Amino acid sequence: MASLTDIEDMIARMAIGDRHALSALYAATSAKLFGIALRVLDDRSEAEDALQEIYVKLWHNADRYRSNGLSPMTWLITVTRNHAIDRLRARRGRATAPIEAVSELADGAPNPEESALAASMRGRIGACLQTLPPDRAEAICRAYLGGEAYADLAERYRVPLNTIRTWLRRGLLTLRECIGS
Amino acid sequence: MSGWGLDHDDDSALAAEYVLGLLAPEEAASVERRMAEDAALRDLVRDWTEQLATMTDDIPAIEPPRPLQDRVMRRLFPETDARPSLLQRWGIWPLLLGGVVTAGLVVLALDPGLIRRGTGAPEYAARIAAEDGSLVVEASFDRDEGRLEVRRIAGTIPQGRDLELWLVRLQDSTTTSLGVLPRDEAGVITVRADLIPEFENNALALSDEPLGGSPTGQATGEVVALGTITPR
Repeated sequence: MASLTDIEDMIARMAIGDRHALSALYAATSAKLFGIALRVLDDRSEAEDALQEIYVKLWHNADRYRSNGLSPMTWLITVTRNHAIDRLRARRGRATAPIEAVSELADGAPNPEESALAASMRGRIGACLQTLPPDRAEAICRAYLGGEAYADLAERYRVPLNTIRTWLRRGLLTLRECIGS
Repeated sequence: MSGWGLDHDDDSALAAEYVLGLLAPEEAASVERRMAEDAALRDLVRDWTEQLATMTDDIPAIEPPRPLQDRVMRRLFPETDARPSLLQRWGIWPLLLGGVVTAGLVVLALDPGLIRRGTGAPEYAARIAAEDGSLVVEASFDRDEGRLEVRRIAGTIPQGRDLELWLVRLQDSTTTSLGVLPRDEAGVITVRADLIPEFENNALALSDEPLGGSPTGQATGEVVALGTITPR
């Protein structure tokens, strides 16, 4: 399997127009990203269309990857997840904010120490989600992998939007404390 | 520590809400406007993006259908001849190796004089070459020991890439990896016992792959050289 450094290198070469780097990135990551698109969209042919669009998008945005400060897999996963969620929402016909801003969210790459810290926290979120009340953990998963916004969750749980927001923000802060501890 | 009071909590929760896509459009837009100016908020968004992405760790990887990569390439580079790589078009191999003229590759018959003899006489040999001679690898195979000696006599292995050696079965156009070509000019590849009988009348090919070889078990890069295996 390609290492994170290999993937970073592929993205850097894509940024200068190296098509072989795109092929290499596809070989190294398409199964992972297809798995995510399929999970979100739950429809094989739509996930296939989405995956094509995702690699087109990765090619066009590779030159902006450096400036967003994310680890390479996080960038790929986030572009994939956001694209799949946008498609899912379009299918549902609900007007919600498109989540497309990943390429421009930060300046300055993380220093190696920050990167190592981020790497060491991988996997922790699962354990931390389990410390939350199950309905809050479920709501967070529904948002991340199901594209449900507050309005959808309020409808689903039959509570006013402000109530669900207060409830979920508390859950998110507990989650952050658990992750950070 | 200043900045870690309620405001920070508020912004941390806001950043999480933004990354999760919970917010209504106008509120998400206002977060984006603030991010343009507020480095601390950008950091919070980045941290949450990293954390929440790990929610996909347990999602199993699933191979997309093979033609999808070609569709991506055709979509991005419609002006070029988007023929799939030869290794993806196994169907034409028997024709290729039968000597039908084709662009891109030339199969060179073995020149026995080029193969260096080891202690035991190799029983099969191949000259795996690029059309323009920019890469030539000679291989000799000792069937008794399952020992494939390879010697790169022209060309280099690209920086940050590996060349992977494939056994190509001409009957059904399937392939099996024999491993990556050693970076040294000469080296030995040990061939799995079950593959030894398959060397007869088949071919060897080299493809350009990420370091460590193709992650998929199929060639992913360009076929850079190929050659038939001939008995000695």
